[in-house]
Amino acid sequence: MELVFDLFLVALFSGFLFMSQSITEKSISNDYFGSRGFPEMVAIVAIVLLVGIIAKTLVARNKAGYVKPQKVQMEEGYRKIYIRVLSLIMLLFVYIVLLKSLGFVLETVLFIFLALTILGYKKYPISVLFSVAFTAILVIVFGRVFFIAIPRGTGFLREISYFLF
Amino acid sequence: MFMQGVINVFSPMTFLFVVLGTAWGLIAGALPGLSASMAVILMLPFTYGMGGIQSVIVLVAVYVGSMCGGSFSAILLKTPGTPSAVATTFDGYPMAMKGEAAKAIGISITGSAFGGIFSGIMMVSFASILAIWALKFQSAEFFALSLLGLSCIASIGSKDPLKALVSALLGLMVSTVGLDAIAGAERFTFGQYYLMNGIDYIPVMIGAYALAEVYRNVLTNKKETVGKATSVKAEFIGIKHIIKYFSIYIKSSIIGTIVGIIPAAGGSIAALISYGEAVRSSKHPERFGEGAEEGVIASETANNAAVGGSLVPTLVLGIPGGNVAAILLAAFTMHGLIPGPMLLKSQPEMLYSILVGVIVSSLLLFVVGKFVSVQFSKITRLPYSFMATIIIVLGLVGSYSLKNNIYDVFVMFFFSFLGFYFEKFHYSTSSFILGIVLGPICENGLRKQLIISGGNWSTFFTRPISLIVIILSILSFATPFIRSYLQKRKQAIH
Repeated sequence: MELVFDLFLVALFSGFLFMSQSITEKSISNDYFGSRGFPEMVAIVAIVLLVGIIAKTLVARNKAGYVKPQKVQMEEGYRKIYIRVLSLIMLLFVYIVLLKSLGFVLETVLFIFLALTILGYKKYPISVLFSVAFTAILVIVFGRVFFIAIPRGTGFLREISYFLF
Repeated sequence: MFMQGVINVFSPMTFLFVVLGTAWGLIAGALPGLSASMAVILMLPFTYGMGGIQSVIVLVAVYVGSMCGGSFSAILLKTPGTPSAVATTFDGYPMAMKGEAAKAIGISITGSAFGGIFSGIMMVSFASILAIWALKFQSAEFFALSLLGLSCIASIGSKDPLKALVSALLGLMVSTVGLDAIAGAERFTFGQYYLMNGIDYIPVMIGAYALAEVYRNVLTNKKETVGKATSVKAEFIGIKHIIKYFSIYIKSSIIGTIVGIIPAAGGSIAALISYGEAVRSSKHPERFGEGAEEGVIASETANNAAVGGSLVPTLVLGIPGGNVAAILLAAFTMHGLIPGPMLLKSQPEMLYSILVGVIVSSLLLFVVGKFVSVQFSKITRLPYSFMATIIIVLGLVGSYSLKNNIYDVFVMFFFSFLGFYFEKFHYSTSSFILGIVLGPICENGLRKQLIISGGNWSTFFTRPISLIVIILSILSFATPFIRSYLQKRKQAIH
């Protein structure tokens, strides 16, 4: 898995290096690096270092006495937690995607309640109370007291938000 | 003059507002989404009815408070409340995880007060000299400074220096996204307008630190929030502790003051450079990133020392040293005072009043900071499932409110995975952040100096300040490698 991540980084830096070739250069006298020079240099050094890291890992693996990590059979408990994290990430993604259309207030109440449920909190009345109270505090503090912009949503949700903050 | 300053600060209304301003600064600083400049701006309307000097004293108190407040959320939530508290996260949060949150906050308050008072005294003593000296800072010196900041990458947050280097390089790469500041060319923007201004490091930090930590804690089925602590009341840090780490307090104060004076540098850069220096000079650099007290001292002392530093060019030359100093400049002009050499001649008590204001608000941190930290830390007593949702929602507000832009929230989300895997595979998130913060200064300093000097590379070594800082950077970068080599040799001999 570590090797896969290292290779991902190599691909990422190679992508940057490839894309830097299409940066339009404007001639400024004595600007030796130009717009693409710095990212090119960074990408090349990073790729060289990553090759070194990968080589080091491979050499360590081929050394005598190296114990190959066995594919761990996922225990039931761990599988549950793993699914919990993935569900939280998916919920967060949906929360962010819908933030502009549903607005901060409705979305945050729903998100907190669902996130608490996913994270295994079973006292639902307290979850509801906390999600409403915490959202209300945030709206008052950020929206009403400090006038920090928070998403209002669209359509009638936007109209309603003006009554709140 | 000094007595006039004392009278100005201790007039009942001004003193009341200094107390309120410090408390407000601490609260605003602790909340991700409210920066120091925002805290000062929001206080500005309350000073309309005051005299020029009084209003500046109150605004400076807010500034001092917010620089310290940023550390509370950095220590307790791994989410820096202000950009200046970025480096505090490196060791503050690990300290909290070891059940030393109260000590970390106590150190942060002590360091902030020390740095603030030190820079205030420096401001009064050497204002004119320092301001003129600061103007000598050109691109070569900025480049050298960025090198000094980057020089500690091999020592922080990862046991593998190569991986720490790659992490920093990724940070440097991310910092190049957007419009090139020199030639105006688009770089890695894919034609998207929201990438033109680059990727802000605050959402990146919130994602890579706070969100990634939430994933990790949920994976390990964590139940409690901050180590074993149930109540986080800032610990009183005695004289013994200050004497023990006196050299770090002094060095960080000097670095913070100097970097604060340099226009456009600011508290976050000061904290990072000071942190790097603390790592370099430590006998145990391997402890940094794992909860070293020196890391919190270096970061918090330097960012508050930058407060006094940033006021020097503002007052003496009318050139703001940073965002907050620019707002203070606006406050001056609002009250009909034009900062510059003439202001100090016409209102000589101004400097002393600000000095007393900085000293008083720095000392108030011990009282008000203790109260605010207790209130703020109450949320850390919640079960982790509640804490996780609080961190996610606060992180989202903090990222969104930067530019009222939903794309910053996506940036936070994306970098949460990078932060997660960085930690898992022993890369260094701290080095990555260093790269993003210092990248633009490094690239622009390098290119601008070459353009100015007609492509003459030796210019980096012929300018005295640049040369000294470059030598320090090389020493700082090489020290951990040399130390490790010497240790291995010693072990081989035995």
